[in-house]
Amino acid sequence: MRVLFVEDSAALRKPVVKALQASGFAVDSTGDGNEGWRLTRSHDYDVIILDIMLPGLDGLEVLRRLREAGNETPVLFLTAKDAVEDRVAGLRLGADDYLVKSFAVEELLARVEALARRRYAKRSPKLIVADLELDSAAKTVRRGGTELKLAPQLYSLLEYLLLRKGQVVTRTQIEEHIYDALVSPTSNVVDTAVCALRRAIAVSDDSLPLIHTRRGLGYIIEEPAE
Amino acid sequence: MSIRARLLTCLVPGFAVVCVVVGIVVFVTTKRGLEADLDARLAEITGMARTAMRTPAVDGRPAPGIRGMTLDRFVSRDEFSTTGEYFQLWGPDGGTERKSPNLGAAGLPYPTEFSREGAVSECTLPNGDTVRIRAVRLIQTGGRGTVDFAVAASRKDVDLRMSRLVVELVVGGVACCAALSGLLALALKVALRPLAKLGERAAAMDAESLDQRFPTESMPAEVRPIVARLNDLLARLEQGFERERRFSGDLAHELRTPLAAIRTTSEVAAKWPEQAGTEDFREIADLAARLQQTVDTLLTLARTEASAAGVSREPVELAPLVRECAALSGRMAAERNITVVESLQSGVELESDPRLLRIIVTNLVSNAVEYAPPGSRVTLACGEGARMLAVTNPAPGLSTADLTHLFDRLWRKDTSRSDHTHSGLGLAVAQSCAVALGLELVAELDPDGTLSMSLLRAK
Repeated sequence: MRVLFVEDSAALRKPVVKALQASGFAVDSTGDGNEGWRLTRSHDYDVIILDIMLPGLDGLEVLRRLREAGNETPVLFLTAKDAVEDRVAGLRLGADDYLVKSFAVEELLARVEALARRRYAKRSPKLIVADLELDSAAKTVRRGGTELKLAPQLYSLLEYLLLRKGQVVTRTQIEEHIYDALVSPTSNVVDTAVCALRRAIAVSDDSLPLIHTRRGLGYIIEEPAE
Repeated sequence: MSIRARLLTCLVPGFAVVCVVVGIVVFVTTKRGLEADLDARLAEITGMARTAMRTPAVDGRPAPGIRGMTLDRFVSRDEFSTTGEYFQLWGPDGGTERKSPNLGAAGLPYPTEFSREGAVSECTLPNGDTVRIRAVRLIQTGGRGTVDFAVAASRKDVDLRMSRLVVELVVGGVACCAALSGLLALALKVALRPLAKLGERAAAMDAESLDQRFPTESMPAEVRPIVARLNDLLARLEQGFERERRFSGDLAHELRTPLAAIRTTSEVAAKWPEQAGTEDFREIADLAARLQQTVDTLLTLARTEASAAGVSREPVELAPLVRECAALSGRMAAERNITVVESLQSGVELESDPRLLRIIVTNLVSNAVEYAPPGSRVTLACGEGARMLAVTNPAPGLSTADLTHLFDRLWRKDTSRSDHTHSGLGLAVAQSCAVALGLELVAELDPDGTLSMSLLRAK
């Protein structure tokens, strides 16, 4: 899951980015509204977190432009303004959620996850294929009752594949959603990660392969054929 | 009491008084007219009686026998056979000589007063008829002494017409009063409708609808100035509310953003301790210090606004105080390559509170030094005149519209409030202190973009 965080206070930006990354999100962040708007044009984010009072373009203007351009990415406003009219203005422009400073970081993470799931039309935090179960609320992965320990990036990859279960996901899409702007993925970084994930979720020799390669297209996670 | 009630309580009794006066005038005039008619009729009968009593001359001598005949003919006139007009003649001895048949046995009461022209009196006859009597004393020619006669006419018609008139006047007066009052109430309702609408609009207004204004065109000319003043008041209220709204929004940002950063930094450090470091603690301490500074300045502002009474007065020499305060911004001026030019007249002394004066000067100087473009010049001047202190600096980004907000609490030209080194409270504090000292702090912007902050002596 790739998240854009636009907040002009560097003191707040730093710990939030840290928390999002620790929760398995790929995060791009900036303190300037214009830069934020530019990033939304060049990347496909799963969730955008916007402050309202921003230099350059304010958060409301970034949202207005996004929706005008037909970009339906869920947007969460993170702001010090808690007056009803401020909330209403944000929601009217098409914001999906509103969180007033200060907030519990757990709440922010939970809201961002819920918005990300909503993007893939999933209500439950549990994503299941065959005997593999990923709980995005508890951040746990189990296979056949055994809990698996996955590195944050592998967890993100598995979550992304599961959210698009039954659909072919291209390498470019994986790069877009799993890696933030600071990582410049080399050509085989996705293949290596998928290979590592396959190994990680194969708990025993009996474990059926769940991730399949569609040559020239990408990868797909689906129920094994009977 | 409403305008309508006031006008009605004044005008309705007024109408009633006018109606009564008009009624009395009509009554008296009509009565006089009718009585004049009655007197004219009496005069006519009197004339006829005089003619009848004249002793005619036959061959140059008086012939009293003929007089008796003419008198008999006069008394037997039709008018004297029915009630209404009466005649009676008394001889020199006071005995009745002739009387109209309609008097019957009783006759007219013997008048107490007679005259040649006819003395007028009134009385009621035994038959119940009230009459007006004209009593005439006639001096006969040839030394035959005087004869008295009286003619009378009934007042019955006059009284009847007068009593009818009274009824008509009372009924007409009451109806007229009622109609006028109704008309008045209606006219007031129509005339006061714009005021009623104004009241309804005013009642429907609240803090959310302060951008609305009362229409002046549809208002009566007398109310228009009041409506215009009301609209001015609304505009000022709207500005005040907007200012307060902006202040609370800015305050929320000033306090909540560092708080959120402190909370998130500590929560993240607690949740992922392996990623936490001493840098996190340093950041939390910096944020807390900044918060503390904002809160302290806000408290200073609140205190100076609330306690103008606690101002002390002592002789203060201005130039050393300005120099001392300017020195506090020396480091920043050096960092930003700002030249501070001092043009301070020595020996300028005033009775003031040095503590509050220092707050004002420090804030003005630091504001000028922080916001002037790097490499520019800030001028400090003080003197004897009304403009006791002036701080000038180039302010290329500022517009004249910004001047109205310059002293607002937490106002910043940069609406995103990204520059975390300023809270936007300095000038608000300076102005609050100036007010407490009875001075005036004004901001002026030259067309070439030079901002002057001047401290003016009280007028």
